[in-house]
Amino acid sequence: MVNDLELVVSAVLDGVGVGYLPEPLVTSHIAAGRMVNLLPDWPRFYSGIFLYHPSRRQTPAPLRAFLGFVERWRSSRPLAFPQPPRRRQA
Amino acid sequence: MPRIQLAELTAFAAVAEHRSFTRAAQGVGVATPTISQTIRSLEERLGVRLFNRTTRSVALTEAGERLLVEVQPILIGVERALESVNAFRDTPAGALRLAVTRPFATMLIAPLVQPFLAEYPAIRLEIAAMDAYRDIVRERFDAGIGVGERVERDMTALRITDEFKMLAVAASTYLEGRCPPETPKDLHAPTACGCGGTGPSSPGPLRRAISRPRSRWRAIWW
Repeated sequence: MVNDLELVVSAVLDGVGVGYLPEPLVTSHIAAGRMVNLLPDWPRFYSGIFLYHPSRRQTPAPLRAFLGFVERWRSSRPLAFPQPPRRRQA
Repeated sequence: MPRIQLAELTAFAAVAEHRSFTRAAQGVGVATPTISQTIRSLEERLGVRLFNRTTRSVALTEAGERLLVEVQPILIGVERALESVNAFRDTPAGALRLAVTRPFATMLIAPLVQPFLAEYPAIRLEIAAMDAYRDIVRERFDAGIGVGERVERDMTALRITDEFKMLAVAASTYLEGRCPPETPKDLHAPTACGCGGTGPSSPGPLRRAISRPRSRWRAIWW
């Protein structure tokens, strides 16, 4: 058992066994035929990643800066997982 | 009353939190002998022992526990007071402590660190990667980042990514000698040969499975 995602990706590619991975990390490998989605009819959805912080009257300045930064980051790219290059649609 | 400095109480709270002089010293940013000396001198002036020290561990005495309960809210109050001044500064400065759960959230946050610090050089970013959800308020983190929305009271949640699918995948070469599973349960089955029938209609996969004894699915998961 491994709990590091990149290690799992490379172990799967090396043919060690079955990995359970977020779709954005494996789309390029599936498209290239290196990996197979074993259970295409059984997708499981994760609700996404959230940042949570105590609601305070005054948010500390560094956290306020970070919240703004994350909002700007998110609006510039839809999913912040390191995305492999997408296959072009014909 | 003996004159006690705020720095000494900060050192005391750090040792209490880390249960270690070495780690507390790192946290406060001083040398280990300095922090031991600070605590010893504090104990001498108060006339009580605050910690029981053995070669392996550091634990609060009853007096130490009592002092911690009284002093911690004051230290937090002082920190907040200093933070409130921060708002008047042009560039945000100070520590930002994030509790980030493994493995998704850490992976997601990693690419943000460099650009964030480039934009806010005066912010000191402390990221604690953790394996399970922790009480961020009690452990004095500014924010937590993890999978799923925390709907606890007095918490604000901000979505960072869309929802995402999790897929069970294997290398295409790994499938040789194994039949594609139909349900998640099939992955736990001891063998994957047969392909819905071991009769003469499917001799190929069966023969391959026999020639390759390692036909059990091995789960790597994450």
